[in-house]
Amino acid sequence: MLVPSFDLSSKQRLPDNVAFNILSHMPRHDCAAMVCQSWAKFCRGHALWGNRLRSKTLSERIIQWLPPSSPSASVCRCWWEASRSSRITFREGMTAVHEASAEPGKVWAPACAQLRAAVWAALSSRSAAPAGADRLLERVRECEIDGGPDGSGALPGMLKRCPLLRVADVKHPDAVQA
Amino acid sequence: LQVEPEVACMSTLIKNMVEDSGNDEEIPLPNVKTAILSKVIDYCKYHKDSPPEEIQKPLKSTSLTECGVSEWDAEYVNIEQEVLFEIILAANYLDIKSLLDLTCAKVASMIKGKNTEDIRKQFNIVNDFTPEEEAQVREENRWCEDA
Repeated sequence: MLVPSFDLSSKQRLPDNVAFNILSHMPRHDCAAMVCQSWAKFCRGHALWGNRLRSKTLSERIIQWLPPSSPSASVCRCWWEASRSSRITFREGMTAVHEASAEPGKVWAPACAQLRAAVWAALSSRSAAPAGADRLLERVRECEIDGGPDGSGALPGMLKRCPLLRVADVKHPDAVQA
Repeated sequence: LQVEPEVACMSTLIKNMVEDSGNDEEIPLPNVKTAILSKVIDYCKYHKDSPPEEIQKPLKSTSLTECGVSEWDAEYVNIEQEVLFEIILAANYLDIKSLLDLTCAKVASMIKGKNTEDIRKQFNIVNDFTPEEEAQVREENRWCEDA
């Protein structure tokens, strides 16, 4: 494999393993791919996967084939967001839904209105669940309980519909005692 | 590349172009290399008269054939990562849903069963969680694994 000269006067080339080592520390190769054919080839190789797989659209498309319990979510922020894990907060008269977030410094972020409505519909359906409800509720990983959402004692039933849920924070035990 | 309209029109992008400008016009595909397009055409020719079965979600096995994928399709994606990656991009650009599903399911099968570190190594993905965030996300996954 050809590698670029690091010193034009000496005409000495970087050994292959050194070139690979340098490039492997550059997840976004930027201009390195333009240095020479051999570097371009390396940059087009498997390293490119890492960059491309950190695109939201592609990672979502791939992660959809994996079970919600797959450890893939913790690969990087983008995959965490693509896994669409969610967290529900139950309070008296209110239910908040948060989704896994790719934003730095934020593990959870408020879900959009559409998702909030879909999660609520899935949680509160008493007979036939809406289409896609199972998949939606499988993503609920965590909840905070600070009261029953509708005061009717329906909370335990709602929680049972989330098969991968592990209670994180129960601030109001009465709400789940039934 | 000369291709039968039925084969080419498995791509929604091309189908829309043909509907707009007819069968005889040349269709430029600047985002797809010839070698990759040739592989895509192989897929479309094979499935022109026999649409593939839906692949089960989530994958039940790392073997695609055990998830409802035909032997031919499983062999089709049994290729180098670089080529697989190029086909994913081509299928996405050409809007061939079944091919995109197949190739993405193949990548998922390469991920399935591996731990986070192995996945990062395989695809050269940089961990951008802070240690505290990673611990939190890992904890959630651990709960799921226990289940």
